[in-house]
Amino acid sequence: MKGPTGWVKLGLLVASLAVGVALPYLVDQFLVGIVTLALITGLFAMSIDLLAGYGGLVTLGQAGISAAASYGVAYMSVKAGAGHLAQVGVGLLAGLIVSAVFAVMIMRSSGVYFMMITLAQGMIIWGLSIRLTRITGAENGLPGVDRPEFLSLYWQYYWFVLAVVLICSAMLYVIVRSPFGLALEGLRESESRLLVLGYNTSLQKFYAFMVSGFFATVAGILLVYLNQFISPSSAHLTASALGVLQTILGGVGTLVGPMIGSFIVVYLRNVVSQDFERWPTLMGLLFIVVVLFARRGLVGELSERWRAWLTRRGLAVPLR
Amino acid sequence: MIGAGVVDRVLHVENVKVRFGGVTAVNGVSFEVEEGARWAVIGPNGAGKTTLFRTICGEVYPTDGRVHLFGRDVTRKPAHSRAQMGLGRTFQVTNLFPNLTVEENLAIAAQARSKRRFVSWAPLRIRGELAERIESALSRVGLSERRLATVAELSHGEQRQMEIAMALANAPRVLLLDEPAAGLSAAERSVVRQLIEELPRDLSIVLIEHDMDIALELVDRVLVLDNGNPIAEGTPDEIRLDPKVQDVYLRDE
Ligand SMILES: Nc1ncnc2c1ncn2[C@@H]1O[C@H](COP(=O)(O)OP(=O)(O)O)[C@@H](O)[C@H]1O
Ligand SMILES: [Mg+2]
Repeated sequence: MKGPTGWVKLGLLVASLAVGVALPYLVDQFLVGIVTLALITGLFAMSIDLLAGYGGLVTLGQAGISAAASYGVAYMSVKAGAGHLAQVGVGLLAGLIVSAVFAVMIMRSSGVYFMMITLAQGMIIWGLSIRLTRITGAENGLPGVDRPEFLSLYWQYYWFVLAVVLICSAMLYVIVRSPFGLALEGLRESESRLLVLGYNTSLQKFYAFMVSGFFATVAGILLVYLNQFISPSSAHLTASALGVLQTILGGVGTLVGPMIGSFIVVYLRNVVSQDFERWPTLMGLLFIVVVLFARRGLVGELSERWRAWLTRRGLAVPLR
Repeated sequence: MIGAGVVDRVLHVENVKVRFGGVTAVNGVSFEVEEGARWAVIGPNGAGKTTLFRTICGEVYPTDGRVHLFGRDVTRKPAHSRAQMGLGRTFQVTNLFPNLTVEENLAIAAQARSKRRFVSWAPLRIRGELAERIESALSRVGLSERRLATVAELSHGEQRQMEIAMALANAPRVLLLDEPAAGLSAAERSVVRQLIEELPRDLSIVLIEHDMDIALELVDRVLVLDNGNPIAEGTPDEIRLDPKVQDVYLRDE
């Protein structure tokens, strides 16, 4: 921990951890379910942030990867009747294989081309999920994905998701601060400079995409066990775009921002929508306000002001 | 692997031609740089100097001709492989990582040729050799006080210094400097001039400079391009007296 910023971060982390762990004692089943969902879509958005916020590679197909993992689990559970270990194993494999195939396709692209390719990739998975009726159940999806005994109760699963998301967040936190993570930011800033410094940027993109795909895969597995159901809409562009939206809302390139963005979107979508049917309008307005008045997103804007305040007082310390 | 003997010819450009559609940007250029030598490539705007650099670095592949680096044919090798061999360059139009700090910029450059750049499971710590490289690059260009500023916050002059610092932190054996003093005031230009003069003598340098007076004072050999064509090659004194070169520069004025 370094300087005042370190202490503020530590304080916020401890406070949110305390609330997070105690949550099932504080609120009802409905809200715990909402928070579980927000944690999972938050992890999903963080996987997008790794590519978009750090690498400057805005992906519009991430839901395809998560959905592939979800389908892997659901198929093994519903159609093959396999055990939970096999379900998770096939889910992981499905997500990682799809990631690898996609990664090879994007490794020589950037900018708008990268966006267009990932958009197409996501739609391919969506198309397959509708067409491959025997595997995916087409529009009906695959219902009845049961959780293992020890996770069957809502609060058990909540704590499990909390632990997994925390571990994944810690991993992401280390990755973006690693030598690789810093070079990934270099990719966002100037690929031509990285190349003449000696970085194989195609390889770098491949690796970043795989790491991001891994976390999207984990999110997909967690989600299918939460909903106990998967259908083609999980792979749709809407799902990918929602993840990008959460990321922008909370703050691109901040990791914690996308998680907060996810809580906001899930809250609007599942709680506010009960009293206010036009919640998408509300979300659109919120999005416009953030883009106009906090261009770095909520967390990005706050931390930038904080940094400027510290700098004015001569309290800024090196990041590393 | 070349034996105990020193590779004395570090860069060899052989009859390189580069065409972009109908435009011939570089038309049959050849030269050889020996270890520790300092070359200048001069010529009016649009002469093909930057394109020649891009060909040497691997950012564009030549339409014809060959490029050899440290005795190896690298004509079709990608830019990053050539950088790994020890070729560095700076850019005429500042090309840095604007939203990262000075220190982070240099860390990316300094780790670029070590295995450390692949590490993703431990935080980056600027310590030991990495810190020394960054420090020495910073002090050479006089930016030690600015290490926590983002590059976007630097003045144009400071950014031009950073261009050179980035290349130095990368520890190349051959350095291509593309108009390092571009857009600087007279005072700033003399700082850059001195900086280049004081670079380590074992570093081989090719300098592009639009301003003939500055260029000729810094190097031992000069290549003059006009419209993509090599029109003269020689020592600075020979170049000063060369009537073809005078023609080109008078025409340009
Ligand atoms: N990517 C490109 N596509 C087409 N023409 C180019 C390209 N790059 C450079 N040129 C042309 O090649 C010529 C040489 O340009 P350049 O190498 O930048 O000259 P210099 O650095 O000597 O000023 C110019 O006529 C320029 O317009
Ligand atoms: Mg030029």
